[in-house]
Amino acid sequence: MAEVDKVEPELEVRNLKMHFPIRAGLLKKTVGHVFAVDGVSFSIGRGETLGLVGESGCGKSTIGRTILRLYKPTAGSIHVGGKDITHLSANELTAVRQKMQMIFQDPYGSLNPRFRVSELIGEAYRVHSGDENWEDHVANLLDKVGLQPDHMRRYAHEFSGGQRQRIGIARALAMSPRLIVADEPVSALDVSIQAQVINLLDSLKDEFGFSCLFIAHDLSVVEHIADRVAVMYLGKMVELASDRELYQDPKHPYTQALISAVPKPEAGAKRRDRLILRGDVPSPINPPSGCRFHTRCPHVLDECRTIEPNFNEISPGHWVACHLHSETSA
Amino acid sequence: MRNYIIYKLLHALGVAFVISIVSFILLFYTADPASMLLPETADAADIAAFEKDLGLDQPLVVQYGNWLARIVFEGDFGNSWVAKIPASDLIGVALWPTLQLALIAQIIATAVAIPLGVLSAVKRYSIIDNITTFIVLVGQAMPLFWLGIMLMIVFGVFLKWLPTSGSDTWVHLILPSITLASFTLPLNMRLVRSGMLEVLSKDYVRTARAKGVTRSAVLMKHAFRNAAIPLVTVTGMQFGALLGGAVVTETVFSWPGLGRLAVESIQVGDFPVVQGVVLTLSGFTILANLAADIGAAWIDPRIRFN
Amino acid sequence: MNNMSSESKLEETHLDYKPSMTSIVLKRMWQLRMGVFGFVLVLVLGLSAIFASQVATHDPLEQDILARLTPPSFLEGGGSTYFLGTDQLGRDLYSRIIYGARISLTIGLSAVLVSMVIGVLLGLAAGYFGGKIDAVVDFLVNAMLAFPFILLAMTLVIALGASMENIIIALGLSNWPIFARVTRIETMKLREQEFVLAAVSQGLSHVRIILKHILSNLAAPLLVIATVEIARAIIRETFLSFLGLGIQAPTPSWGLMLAEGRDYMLTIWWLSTLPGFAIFLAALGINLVGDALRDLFDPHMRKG
Repeated sequence: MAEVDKVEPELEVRNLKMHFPIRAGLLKKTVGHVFAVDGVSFSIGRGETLGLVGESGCGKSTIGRTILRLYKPTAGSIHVGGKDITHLSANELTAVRQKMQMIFQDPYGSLNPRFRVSELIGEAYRVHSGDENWEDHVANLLDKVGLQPDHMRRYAHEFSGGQRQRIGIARALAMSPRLIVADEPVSALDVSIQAQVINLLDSLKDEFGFSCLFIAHDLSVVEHIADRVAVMYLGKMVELASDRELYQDPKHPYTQALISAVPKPEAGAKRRDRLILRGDVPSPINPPSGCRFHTRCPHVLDECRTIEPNFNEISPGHWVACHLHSETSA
Repeated sequence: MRNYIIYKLLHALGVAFVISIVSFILLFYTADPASMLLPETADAADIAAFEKDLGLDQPLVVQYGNWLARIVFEGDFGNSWVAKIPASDLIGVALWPTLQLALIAQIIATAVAIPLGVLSAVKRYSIIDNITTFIVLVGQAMPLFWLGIMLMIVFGVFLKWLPTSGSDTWVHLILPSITLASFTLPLNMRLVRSGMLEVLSKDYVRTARAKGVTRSAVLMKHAFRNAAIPLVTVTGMQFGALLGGAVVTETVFSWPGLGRLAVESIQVGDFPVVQGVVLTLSGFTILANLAADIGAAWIDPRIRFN
Repeated sequence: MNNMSSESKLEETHLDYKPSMTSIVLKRMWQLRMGVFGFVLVLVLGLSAIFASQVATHDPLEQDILARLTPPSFLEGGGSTYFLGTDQLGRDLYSRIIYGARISLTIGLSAVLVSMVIGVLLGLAAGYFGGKIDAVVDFLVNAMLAFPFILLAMTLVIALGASMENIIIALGLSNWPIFARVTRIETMKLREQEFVLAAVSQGLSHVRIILKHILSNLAAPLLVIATVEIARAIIRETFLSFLGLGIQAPTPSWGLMLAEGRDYMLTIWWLSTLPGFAIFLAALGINLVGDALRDLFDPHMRKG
């Protein structure tokens, strides 16, 4: 069971909400909202890696971007290194931004095709630090991510997808951040390359000591690298536990379904029954009442349809939002 | 759909409004009616009285308001300073020849562009394709008035087949309309061709072909209808350019239309007429754009709200 | 030559006959040849403009009344002194055409420069910041595009007076909407790209993002459009001069020469034809170079 650092957490998110207005019509009136993130709370300790898993549309990418203040939260608060960054202006954010970085999903869209690798990685560092020897720093970073330093004069299109992601990682590391949000960093890569990049991140994490929010849609991806794992569904967090505990003793039906879907090619492993969920994922514009998962849940109770379950700590370090596990249920 | 139309109408009105302001201001600062209309012996007092008479001593906004009101409610553009008759008369007379020219030219251009464009898409790398490419290249680089002059020289002077100026019979219409048609022909051809190419390679067409639908049936039904959409939109939007081309063509061939009227009026400084022509031409352009927008949205429902 | 952009690959899938290798190769060679041809034309144009005094045979303003209206040397009646003959004031047509290149090119380039500066700045602001700025700019662009260009340019020239600088201003001010519109659309597309988001997340300033990240990706499409607009500007200047609203006599502008030669069309047809042909070749060359540039940039941009 992972212990959250008793010192102030690197990242603390409380009741975060991110609603995007939908505009239509002549005067661009707001006709509805996409409830992308609807009340999420968690924290990440120093040097800890939190995996965040969920299907497309569950809001995980939005959380990552909101934390980095690429959006302005609709409600809730974000504290980074103890500092409240929820309402900071763009100018005020400049200083903070250097300490939290993002690794993007798309290795092709996230690198400016007109920049050389040296500029891609070192631009922010050069601008913010004014260091004349910034290229040395870039060379060092390239080495750390497993690329050749003398490739820095090249352009992004000369590299493969996996190599581009390494460039993206080097870019994120350039300013020695304390928090890195990795937004599905391996989803666009071939399976064989995915492991390499995940291992790279793992060793860099130890070496540089940053905290990491690792976002993925596949549980098996985060299993190796995460200390704790959180599961999201339709804008809400439904379970949060240490890595091992989540995989061995998942409490939320959704988590159980996700885990059962992970193929386990181990000889002699028990053959788990696949839990197939009924129905389609509802839309985040019009989420179901009560527990959002109730329309697909195999263990749905009456109260699930009307009352939203709280996110409770049912055992130390293990949080679930489910009526099956709350004290208030019958 | 209805909302879209209303939105586009309001937008068009807004544009018309802005154009009226711009043309008013432009001409306000360049016009010098006193020196045009008063005899040279007029002194400062005469000029002052004259300007008061015309209401030129009032604030800019008031003058604009009066001017606009007169145009909208009475259709009165003022009197031509040169011909001393209402500008709207001159404009009215010149309107039809320009429309005539523009319409015939557009018809010719479309009539040539469609078959050539379709054929060059269907039979790539054939002679037709190469000819089309050549026409597009040459057509886009061709200065319109040079083409007109060359056609005049070849057909009017050397071969003496066609008349080179005047507008009495339909024969006089031939050279100017061909000249003007060549202005929009290249773009139309390119559009038809690329529209057809894009659709022909789409999966649903290949599915239809695989199902055994004959080639020409596929062409006509599916491909052409979708390729026609950009053609419609652009034709409407090109109308403004077409009118611009008409200005040039009319000047070269002395065709008695709005274009020639505008040019002559600008050259002599007859500003009420110039303003009137500018507003009329812009008005038609705006209407054409509006029709194209609404037409496109009607054909392709996806366009309605961006 | 890697001109097989993915678009042309697409185009061929619907054919149910196989175009012979020869015809494909011929077409590609034709395209390549046209690009080279265009480049040559532009080179000739540029060199004539720059080295006019070396290339011309006479002073373009010098009149030789006795020799007026001499035909070009390849026609009967032509001599060897005046390569393309003389005009109605006995000035050497060839030299005037060469010097005319300088005028046309200067005006074409300058006018497009003016349009680009205005248009690109407005387009960047509108596309990047969106909101009210975008609404205003978009509206302005649409409004100006509804205005018949020729009339706008003409009115401006009248207002300012006919001189080379004023023509440049008039043409430049009339044409910025084209650049603004393209810049705006491309900027809006680029703004959504993740590398822009990455730059924001790194705390880089808006100015830096606009000028370095977005503008660097705009260079290619803008260049292509600029070439087309240069050709159009040249043609428009010649038209203005043709109407007497442009370059004033005796400066040799191709448009002016066309106008002057119009009166003699019946017999001395070369006075109008030859300068016009020069205009045509200049525009053609520039267009071809523009097409070649477009083909060049297309596959590269798709790769990135």
